[in-house]
Amino acid sequence: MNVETVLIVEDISEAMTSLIRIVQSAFPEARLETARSVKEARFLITQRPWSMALVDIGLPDGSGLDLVRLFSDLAPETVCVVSTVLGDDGHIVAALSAGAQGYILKGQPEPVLLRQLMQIQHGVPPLSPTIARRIMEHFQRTGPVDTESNGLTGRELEVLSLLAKGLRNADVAVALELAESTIATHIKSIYRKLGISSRAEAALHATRLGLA
Amino acid sequence: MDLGRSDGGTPALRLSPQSWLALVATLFLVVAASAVWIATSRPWMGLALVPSDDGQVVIVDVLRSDLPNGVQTGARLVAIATPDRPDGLDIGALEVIEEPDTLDTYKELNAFRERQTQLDSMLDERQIELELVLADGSSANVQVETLASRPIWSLPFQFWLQLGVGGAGIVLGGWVWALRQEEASAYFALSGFGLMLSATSAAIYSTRELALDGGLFRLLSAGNYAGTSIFGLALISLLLVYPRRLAGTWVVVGVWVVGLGVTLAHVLQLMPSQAVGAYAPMLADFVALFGLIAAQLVLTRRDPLARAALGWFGLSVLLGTGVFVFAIAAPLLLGLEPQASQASAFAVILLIYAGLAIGVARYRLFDLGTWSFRLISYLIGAFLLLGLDALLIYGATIEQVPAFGLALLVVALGYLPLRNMIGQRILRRHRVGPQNFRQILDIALASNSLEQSVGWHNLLAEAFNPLTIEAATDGTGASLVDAGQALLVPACGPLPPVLLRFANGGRRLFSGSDLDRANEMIELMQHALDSRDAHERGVRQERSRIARDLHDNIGAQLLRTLHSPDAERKDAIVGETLTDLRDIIANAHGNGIRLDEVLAELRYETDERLAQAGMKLDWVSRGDEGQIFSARLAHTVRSIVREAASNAIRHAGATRLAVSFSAEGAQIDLAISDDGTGFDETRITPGDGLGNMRSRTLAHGGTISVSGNGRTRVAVQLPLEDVAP
Repeated sequence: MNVETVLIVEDISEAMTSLIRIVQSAFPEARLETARSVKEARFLITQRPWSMALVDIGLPDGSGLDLVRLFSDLAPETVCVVSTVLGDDGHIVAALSAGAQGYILKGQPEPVLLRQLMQIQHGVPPLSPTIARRIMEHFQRTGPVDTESNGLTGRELEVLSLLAKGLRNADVAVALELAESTIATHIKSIYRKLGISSRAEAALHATRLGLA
Repeated sequence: MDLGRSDGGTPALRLSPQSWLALVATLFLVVAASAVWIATSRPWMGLALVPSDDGQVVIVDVLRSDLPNGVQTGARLVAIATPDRPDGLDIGALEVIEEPDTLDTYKELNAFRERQTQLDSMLDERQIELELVLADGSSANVQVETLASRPIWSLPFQFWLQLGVGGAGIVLGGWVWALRQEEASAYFALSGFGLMLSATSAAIYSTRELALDGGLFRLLSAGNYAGTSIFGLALISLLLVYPRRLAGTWVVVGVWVVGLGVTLAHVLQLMPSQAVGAYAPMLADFVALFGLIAAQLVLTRRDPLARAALGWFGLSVLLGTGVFVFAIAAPLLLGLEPQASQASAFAVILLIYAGLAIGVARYRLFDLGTWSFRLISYLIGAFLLLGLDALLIYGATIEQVPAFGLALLVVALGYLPLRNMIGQRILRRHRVGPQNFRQILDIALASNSLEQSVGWHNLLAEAFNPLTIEAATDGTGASLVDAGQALLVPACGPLPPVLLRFANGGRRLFSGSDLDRANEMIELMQHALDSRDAHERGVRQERSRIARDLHDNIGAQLLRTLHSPDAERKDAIVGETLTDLRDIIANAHGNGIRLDEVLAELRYETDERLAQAGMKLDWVSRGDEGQIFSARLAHTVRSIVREAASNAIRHAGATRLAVSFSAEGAQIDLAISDDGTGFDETRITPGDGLGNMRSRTLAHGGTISVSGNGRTRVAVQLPLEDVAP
């Protein structure tokens, strides 16, 4: 898929400058627009179709998670990536549950960010050990909610547990004797099920609270 | 029982309440068993006979299947003859009257007893001839052989009812006595004994089939009469001394002398007439009771609690005895027919005991708390078990063992749940419910002590509805003050002690269950306050841990950045600082960091960086995965690996980096080597990466060796310190 339009939502000027630099070198052809608040971003989301969006989680007038949800409701075709400074794993898992297809930690060197962004674009979502561990915990906790279709398969669990040990996708592929692209497919499936199980869990909570 | 002892003395016999109750229950069972034995040991025709309106005797039921045809329901029994007395004896309605006391004169009574003796001896001959007038008016003479004894199942309901009333009397009287051995409760127990004597005697003779031996009849009548007298005299004595003492011991003794004298006179047939002898004392007792209750009500007018308790008890005494007097005694004295069967009138007397139960439950009558019900309820359960057992064995002729099992089942499934339900209703046991729980939490979490104090007062007011809540001096634990007039609630954390006066707006006293409830609330309150303190302490500890981490790691690194002249190096340190900041946040629970999580993250990060530079990572780690690191140690390990990786990427011209980590025993071994060109060992300065590695290692009490000869190799040993909280 070609990246034609990119929306960057970021409130810190220096971070914005750095992100613009990275996006421009990753996707030189893309048309780039920026927003500095949830309000501005909400307006821009509906203005045109977006190939990719980089969304900061902590914004002055709200949470970037709301924007991620908005994207997955209004424009599910947009590759939505959350960016955060501290990479608090609770927020990242929440973002992935809300429909984000990846995340980047802004504190890392620019070359690293550039590479990760391009990998996300090429369908290789990032999954750090800590996040992999949290996702495993999430599925263990929400076990009873899952139906067979949105529980993790044995293979996906294997992939997750190797990632949680600090192996990179390529190393996981070697360890499991699979192609690296298969690992990426597994990770995408895990992301999708994370969203489904989170929604199922939310529905269950709503039912328990008498809201649904 | 030592009945003559004076108020406040020690009981002659020291027994536990359960033992007293067991004793009383045994007494009753012996009496009941004797009554059943006497009732069943008479010869039996197998008929149920009642007096008819026209003065004859009608068969209303035939209880044997082997009797000749003419003996049928509706037939009239006119006379009985035997081989010894072929001329026979005419039978009139008088023979089967329930209570011969209702006869007018002693002469009539004696004639009645004489006929009873004759009938009884005829029945004893076994071979008898019944002269019957059938329903269609025709006469028939049939030969009947009586059975040697009356089967237990044929005893009518009235027999068991009166036996039960007697049992209730003695058991409830014994219950009060068992728990409170004072003069008043002795009289109450004595009244129960009188009731048992009276009702049990009446049970035997009033439900006879046709006749009892006159001597036995006379004895039972005397028992019935004496029992009734004791019942009345005991209640009078009770009201003479309780709740207020109206008369001295001599008056009470005098009452008994006069009362028992009259009784004896009646038994000896010295009274003006049978009816007067039997029922005038009863009426006199009733009038006396009425007067005494009125007097007690006047005397207790300044003590609303005593008065309310007396009200319940007095009302039920008047109702219970009143029904007996007005339905039976008064009509007879006026020469009218009694208005109720004596057996059912006995049941009405149980009203007294219902009144007693309510008095005890609500007003601690006789100073008994609601706890006292627990004792009696088990006894009733046991009686029920025995009764059902007997019923099933004799009534349904079931084998003994299954009958007992069945009885047990019925008691377990029926009685016990019922008992609990009634118990909960009557005893009104309050539990600290979810509503209270929330209120208690709100109070514990209130922002200042005034708010807490007000909330606590409101909660206590809601729970007990006392007339007043006053400040109190502290005591140890909640306690009842002045026998339940007040409840002392001790200090609880910042909440001052309070004294609650008069429960439920003054309508009742504080009881043991109130005390339990108060203790439960205090315990919950204390727990909530402690939890709040613990939470606040935890928050403070957490804050100081975060402050320490920020100072040790972030502060130190920012300082290094500030003084580092190399821009690239500044960037690297800032990047690391952000990672450390993440650590401090992720480690927010202060439990330390898991070794495997630190290593996984470090491996991933290092691998990413090396891949960026086109290098490979060989990673080996050993150790207990679940082991916990302090944030500081994790930071040191990470800094060393990062520093080494940075050096390899930037300076060594290497293609591979090997990291070997092991945490075994009390030591961490960390070895990092590359396949690059090495460096000049003499040019290490404190400001650069290797210098930093060294100073960090030494600060942890570890050792480090660096060799740059050929390829670079860093070997570090660090002690596995205890986890800092």
